[in-house]
Amino acid sequence: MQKVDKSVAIVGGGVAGITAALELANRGVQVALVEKKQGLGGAVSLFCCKATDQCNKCSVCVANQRMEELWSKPHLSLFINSEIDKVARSDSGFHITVRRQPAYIDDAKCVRCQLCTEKCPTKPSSIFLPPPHSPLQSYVIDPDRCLHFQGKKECRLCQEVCPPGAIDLSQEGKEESLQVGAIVVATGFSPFDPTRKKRYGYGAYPDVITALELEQQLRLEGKLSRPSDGSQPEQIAFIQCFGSRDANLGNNYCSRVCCTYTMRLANLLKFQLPDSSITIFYMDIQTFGKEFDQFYQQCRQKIEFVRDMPSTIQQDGDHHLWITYQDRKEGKIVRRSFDLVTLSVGLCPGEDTEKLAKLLGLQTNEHGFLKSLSPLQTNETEAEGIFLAGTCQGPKDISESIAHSVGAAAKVLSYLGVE
Amino acid sequence: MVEEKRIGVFLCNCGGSLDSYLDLKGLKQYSKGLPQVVYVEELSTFCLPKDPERISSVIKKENLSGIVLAGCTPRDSEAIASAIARESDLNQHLINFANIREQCAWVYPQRETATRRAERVLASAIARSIHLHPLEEEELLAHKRVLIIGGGIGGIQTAMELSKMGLGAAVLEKKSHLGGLMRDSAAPFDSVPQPQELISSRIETVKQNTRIDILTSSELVKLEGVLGNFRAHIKRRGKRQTITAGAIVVAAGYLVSFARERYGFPLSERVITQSQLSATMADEKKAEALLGSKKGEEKNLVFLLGVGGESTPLTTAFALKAALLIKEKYNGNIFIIYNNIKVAGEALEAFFRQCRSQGIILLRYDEPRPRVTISKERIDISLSGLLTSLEKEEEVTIPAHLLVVEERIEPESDLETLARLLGINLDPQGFLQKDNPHLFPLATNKAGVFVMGSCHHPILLPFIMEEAAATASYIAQQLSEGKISVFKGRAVVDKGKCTLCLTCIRLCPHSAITYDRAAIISEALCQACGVCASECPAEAIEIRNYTTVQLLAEIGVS
Repeated sequence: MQKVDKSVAIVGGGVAGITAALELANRGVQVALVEKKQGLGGAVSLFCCKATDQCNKCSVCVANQRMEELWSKPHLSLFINSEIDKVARSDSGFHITVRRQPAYIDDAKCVRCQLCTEKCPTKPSSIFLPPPHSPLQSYVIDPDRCLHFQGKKECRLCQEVCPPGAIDLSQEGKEESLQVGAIVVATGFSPFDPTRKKRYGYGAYPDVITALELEQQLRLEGKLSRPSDGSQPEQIAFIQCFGSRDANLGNNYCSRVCCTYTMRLANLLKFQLPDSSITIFYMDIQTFGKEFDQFYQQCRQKIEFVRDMPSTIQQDGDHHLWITYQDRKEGKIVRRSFDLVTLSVGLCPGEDTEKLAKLLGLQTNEHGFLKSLSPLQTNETEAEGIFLAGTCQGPKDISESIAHSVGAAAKVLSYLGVE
Repeated sequence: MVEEKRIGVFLCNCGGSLDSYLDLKGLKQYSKGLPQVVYVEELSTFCLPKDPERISSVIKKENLSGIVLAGCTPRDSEAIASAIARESDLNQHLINFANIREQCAWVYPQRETATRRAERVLASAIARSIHLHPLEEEELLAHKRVLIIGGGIGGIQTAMELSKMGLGAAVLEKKSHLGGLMRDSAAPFDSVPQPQELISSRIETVKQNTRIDILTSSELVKLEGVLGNFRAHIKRRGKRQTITAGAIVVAAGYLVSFARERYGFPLSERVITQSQLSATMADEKKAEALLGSKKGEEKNLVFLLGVGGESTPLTTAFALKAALLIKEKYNGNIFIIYNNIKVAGEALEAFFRQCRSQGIILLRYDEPRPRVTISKERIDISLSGLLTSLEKEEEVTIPAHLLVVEERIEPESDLETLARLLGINLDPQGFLQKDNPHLFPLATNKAGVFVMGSCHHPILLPFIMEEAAATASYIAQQLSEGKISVFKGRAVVDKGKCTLCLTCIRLCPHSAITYDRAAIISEALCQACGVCASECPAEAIEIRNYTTVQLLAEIGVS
C-alpha cells in the first residue's frame, strides 16, 4: 500500500467530530477540525440539561466537557467559520482546500477581558460575549450594528484597545490548503423542518413550538413560557413522530431519539412546574437504551400518555390550542385545549449532505443520510480513506454518537497504520 | 516543620483591563508581606505565550520553589502550568492558581471591596502553596495483550480490532466452541440474514490470526494486578493456568427466558418462543412440519410482542424478519400483535412497512392486553379497544395454529460472579455497569477493565460492531506504548495508624485497595477521588496535595 500521511481532516465540530478529533490527537495523529459555524459543539450545544433533582443521563453536558478538552490538545488545528471547498485525491491521501470566512476575533488569542465591549461607541455594544451556555466561546461582532461595518471605516476602537491583539477588522475570507491521509465526515443532522408538515399549525400559532425551540428556551432562559404572552403554560402537549416514521413525507424511518428526549423534557417540565399537566401523543414508544424502560415506567406515573396522532390543532381567540384526537379506549373523538404544544421533531440528513457527498464521492442512502459500507460497517464508506462518525450516517443519540466516533477514530488509525 | 519555601506570586492585569477593578499595586504590596513570598510581579497576560516564558525564567533566576498565578482561571490552565513546568523544571503540582478576575474583580461593584476579597483569595492560595508537595509520575511496563471474556461475535470482533491496532488478544470462552448466541441462531439474528455464515467466517479469521489466542472451555477464577499488568488465573478443561494481560474486556452475552407468570400459560408444541422458532427454522424438515400446510388448509401464525414485558428492538427485529422469511416460503396468514413496535434501529421501520405490504397483519394493542385462551383444538387471541373506529366493547378473535412468544432478555447467571472477580459494578437489572455512560461509555469503575456488547445492555449487532472498534481504540490508546504512567505516592497510607478495619476497601469505587498488614492502595488503579481519605476512621489515609494540613492552611486564613 502507498504510504499515506498520518494526518486527518475532520469535517464537522459537533460532539462526533470533537470526539473523533480527541481520540486521534491523543494517538499523535495531526488533526484539522473544520467547522462551518463560528462556535464548536454542533447540535448538542443548543440542547438543555435535563436533570431534575437527579441526572437523567441526557449526555448534553458531554459536548461542553469535550470542547474544554480540545483547547489543551497538541496536534490539533481548528478551522472555525470554514468550509471544505475542494477535495482532490493525491498519492498520499487527499489535498483539501478550506475556505475560511472572517471571524474578526481570534478565539485563541481573546482573553475575555471585556475591554472591547466597554470601549465600543454603540449602545448596547455591538461587540459582546454571547450569553452563557451559548455555543460561541469568544466575543462576536454584530456587523449590522458595528460602526466599522456600517460605513464608519475609521472606527477601530475595539481593535486598538484589545490587549492581546485578538481583533482584526480588516480580516477577509481566505483559502487554506491541507494535505491529509484520511477524512472523517461528522457533519451531523438537521432537525426536521416543521414548516413541511402544516397540519399542526406550526408558524401560524405562536404556541406551537418544536422540541428544539423548547430545548433552546430552557437552555438560555432556564424556564418555560408561552411565546404568545410570556405566561406559564399549565396544559402542555407533546406530539411524537413529527417528521419521523412518515411515509407521506418520505421519512420512512424512526429517528430513535425523540421518545427519550421528549420523556426527559416532559419529566423536567413536570419537575419545574409541578401543577402543570403534561400529555404525550404517540404511536409507539421507542425504548432502546440502557434503563430506558425503567425511565418510561417512571414517566407514566406522572405524565399522561395518549396513544393517537392528533388530527388537527386549532387556536381560539384566547390563544388556547384545541387538539382533536381519537380516544381509542373510549372509541370517541375528543377535543381538548392546551396552552402549549411541542412537536417532537425528528432527525433529518444535514442540509449540506448532498453537496458534501458529491464533493467527497460518497453515496447517500434511501433516507438521504450518508451511506456506510454495509449495515455492520457503519464507519466505513465505499470511498477509500473516508469515514463516517455520528448522525451524518443515521439517527443516533449522544452517547451512541460518541461510541460511533470513537469507532471511526479506530478505523482511521488502522487505515493510517498507526499502532 | 515544613521546609521554608520560596514562593513567587504573579499578578495578571489581563492586558491592563483589571486596573479599574482592582488595586493591583496594593495587592502586590500585600502579597510581599505574606509568609515565604520572596518575589511578586505584575504581568499583563499569562494566558499568552510570552508571559509563561517570562515566568519560567524568573523561577530559575529567583530559585522559586512554588508559584501562584493570580488572574483568571483560563480553560487551558493545565496546558499553561505544564508549559511553565517544562521550561522551568518546577514540578507542575507546585504551580497554583488564584482567581482574582471572575471571582473578585467582576463580582464586586466597588474597587475597594474587590481588592479586599482578592487579598483573601491570594492569602489562601499562598497558604496552600506553602504546603504543596511535588508529585512525580512513574512509568510502568504494560502488556500489549488483552484478555477478552466471551467468545461471541462481540469478543471475536474486539479481538480482530485489537489485532489491527497491533495488540494481542486472548479470547476466553466457557463453552467448548466460539460463536456465542449467534452460532445457535439459525434464523435472522437482528440485522443479519445469515448469522451462521457470518459467525463461522469470523471464527475462521480469528483462528488464523497469530496475534489472537483462543481458550475455549475456560473460565476466569481469579484476577490480580492492575491496568497494564493483570494476572488472570483461569481454569481450562479442569487445569489451572495464568495469563498476563494489559487490559480486560468483558464481552459476555445474555440469557433469554420465558416469563410464564406474565403470560399466564405454559409453552407447548403450539406455543413456542422466538428462540425455539429460530432453531426450528435452521432445520428444513422440522420447519416444513411446523410451518408448512396441506393443500387447502390455511394456518395462522401469530407473533405476540410486549406481553412478557416491554419489547426490545432485538425481539422486534426477529419477529419482523422471521415473519418475512416465513411469508416468502410458506402459505398461511401471519399476525404480529404488539404493544409498542420497537423500530429504533437501522432499517427496522422499513421492515415494518415491508411486512405490511407483504400481507402480514400487524395489530397493536394498548389496554387491555390481549386475552389468550388455549383449548385442545385451538388457541384464541382476543383483542379489544384498539383498532380505528372499533366500538369500545367490540372484540376481535384471531385463531392461531402456532403462537410465537417473546422472551425476556436477562443477564447471564454467572455475570454477578464475574463482576465480583473483576471488581466491577452491576446495574439494578443485573447487567454490567458502565463507569460514566456519557464520557466513557465502555469503561468500568476499575481502570483497565472494559465492558462491551450485550452484557451491559442488549443491543443490535451494528452497535456491537461499533463498540468493538471503540473498545479496541480506548485500549490501544492506553497500551500501545507498552507502558503506562501513574502518579507515585498520590494516596498515602500511614501504616502505623491503619487498624485494618477495611472501611476503605469496602468504599473504594475503583477497587483499588487491597491489604497486607495495612491497606495498600494501587497507584495504577487509584483515581484520587478521596473517598478513602475522608472515610478512614483512623485518619490513616491522605491524598497528596489534599491533606488535612493543606486544606486547613487554605481555609484557615480566609
